[in-house]
Amino acid sequence: MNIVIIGLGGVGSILSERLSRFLNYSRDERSRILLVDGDTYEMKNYERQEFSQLGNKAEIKSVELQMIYPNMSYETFPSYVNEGNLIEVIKDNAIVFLCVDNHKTRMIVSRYCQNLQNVTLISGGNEFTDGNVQIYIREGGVDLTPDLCAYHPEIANPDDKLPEEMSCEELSHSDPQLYFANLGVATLMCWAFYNAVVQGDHTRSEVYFDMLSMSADSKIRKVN
Amino acid sequence: MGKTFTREELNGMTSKALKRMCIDELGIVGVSKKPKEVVVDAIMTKYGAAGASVEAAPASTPLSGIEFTGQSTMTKPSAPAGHRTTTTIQVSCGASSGAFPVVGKSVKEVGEFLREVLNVDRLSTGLVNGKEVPADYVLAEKDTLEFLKPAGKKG
Repeated sequence: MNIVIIGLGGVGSILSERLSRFLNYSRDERSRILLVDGDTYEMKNYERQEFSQLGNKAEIKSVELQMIYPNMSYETFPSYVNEGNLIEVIKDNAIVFLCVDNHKTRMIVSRYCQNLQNVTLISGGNEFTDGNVQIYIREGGVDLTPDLCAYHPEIANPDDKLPEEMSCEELSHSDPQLYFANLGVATLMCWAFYNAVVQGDHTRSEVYFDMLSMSADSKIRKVN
Repeated sequence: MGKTFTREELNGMTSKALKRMCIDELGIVGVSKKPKEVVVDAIMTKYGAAGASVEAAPASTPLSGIEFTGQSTMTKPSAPAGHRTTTTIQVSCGASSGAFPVVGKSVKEVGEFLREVLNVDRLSTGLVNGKEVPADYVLAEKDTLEFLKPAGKKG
């Protein structure tokens, strides 16, 4: 499997570990995971993110995971993605986990994947106590599920910026998040992977969860 | 759902038969250790959620509250034998959902009245049976309504 994890913050750092554990012990063939993030792990990330040392998140996580999961192969891309470098990050037939914290990156990644022949894109995001996961599947140049923008105008027309477009002040500011919300998104992304990739079920393209009502609901959406 | 019973008929059945009906026919769980009256209430609630037999309003009318039809069962005089119409449809927004008696109401009205119940955003788009509809679309029997909830941004 050719897997890409974009974003190794609160969601991606959890997801990369859980996904590695599953792949390392459930598959005979060696899976490759490309870890992508231009961000640095800092002291302020302690409460939500799982890293053993300070430094670039992709590079640190790669070393950590390789020690635990020898049957896996890890590569790193220690930069933020943009429209210019996506061609280096996402190849045809990739399974992409998008764990970023801005809609503009979701938009450019979704648009890029719409030009590939075969791709599975699983994107997750959360607010303080709720969130959602979207599953975009494209096979043979045909969309089997809606792209990330189809039912989400806030992603199609984002009001935020790519991390590389932000000032240092903007980058240092982040809204408070709950570790459990990140954990919820990571878990649902694992479920989406198991359902769509392992089981080959392409019917559900989105799932929402809400911690306060302790509920989750998946959606079957039409491709426009 | 198969044959429906009145409360009096249900009260005349044994507790064991009621519990078997819950599991085998109605998909109601968690009643195995409940007293009979609680089981009967659960069945009547299930009947109400599945829709009482009343005619749908022909056009949108002001919604004055959550008019839950509950356990009432009425027959449309001109309907063929066995015909059932329902006033409740499934409405969802994000992870929240429920069956509400909103047939004959517009999407806009439903959004306003369920705003707090389902946490519907004022600008949320309504999808009926998976397709985007204008806010003045009047809901019909067997429609499903989803108010689109924005994607989570952080991660």
